[in-house]
Amino acid sequence: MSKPSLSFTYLSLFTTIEKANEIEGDLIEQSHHQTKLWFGTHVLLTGLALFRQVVIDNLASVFLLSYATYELMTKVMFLGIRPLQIYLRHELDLSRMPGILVMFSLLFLMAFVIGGALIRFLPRLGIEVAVGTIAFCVLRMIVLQEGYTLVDIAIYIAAPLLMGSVYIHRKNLRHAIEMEGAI
Amino acid sequence: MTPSYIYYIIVDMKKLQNLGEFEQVMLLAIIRLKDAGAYGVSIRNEISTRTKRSPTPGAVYTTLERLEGKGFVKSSVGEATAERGGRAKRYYRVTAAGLAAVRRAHRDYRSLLQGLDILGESYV
Repeated sequence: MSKPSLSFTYLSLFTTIEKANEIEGDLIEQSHHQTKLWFGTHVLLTGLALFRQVVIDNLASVFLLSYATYELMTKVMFLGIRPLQIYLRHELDLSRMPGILVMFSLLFLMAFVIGGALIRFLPRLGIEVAVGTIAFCVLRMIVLQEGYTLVDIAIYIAAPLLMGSVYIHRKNLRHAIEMEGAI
Repeated sequence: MTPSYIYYIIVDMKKLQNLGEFEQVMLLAIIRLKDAGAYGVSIRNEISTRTKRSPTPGAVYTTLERLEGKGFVKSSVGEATAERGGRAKRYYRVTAAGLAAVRRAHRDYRSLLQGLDILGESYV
């Protein structure tokens, strides 16, 4: 396998590379008399089941690491500036503050880098911690209602965090396949 | 609270891990497939055939990971085939600890069922 398939990339987020390869092989074997939708659905559901099992097996670690990442993103990243600069979007006119766009781009980039770092330093729990961090942001929004919305969290936290995680994960897979012959 | 009692609580009791219902089903399917080779697809097919229920692939793989973590099954990598897009299979076999757990569960069921006629008309 020279290039990791989408299904393999997805499954290997939640289990080892070897087991993801074998699970994908099992699903391919069973899908010969089924549709592509069947295969895609079962890949998705299998990944979710594996994700849930990892969270259950490491509940305390995922909880603590998610909370720490959430605090990092909302407090430290902005060095004392009010958490989630997007709140300012509701108070200032964007067209008069081009700097705000630069700041939002930096916010996006920082979340992307943190997502990648989670996979780099927590290969077995990275994606679970990323999802946990997003859950904390949503919970904070619902409980404290600090003025930002689900769309804000989706654009500035969830999307770049997950994109960063998947990007680094895919890089790691290519490295494992090409250099180390892991499969 | 003697040291031997503490050892029993911490070490011996941990070894006597009980099986969940689906874990028992999985172990029995793996035992049945001992000669044919038990891997994800064959285990799922065996359960579907014998029990008339269709476990999802996710349920099968998470249970296999759990059983392996408990030391009830051991796995080994098998051959890759073109049918599987060149991906290898992972075969599972039940360990002595797994077999003991199945026997213990079966013994417990027999003990609880003794004297009961739960399938009879008189049972309400």
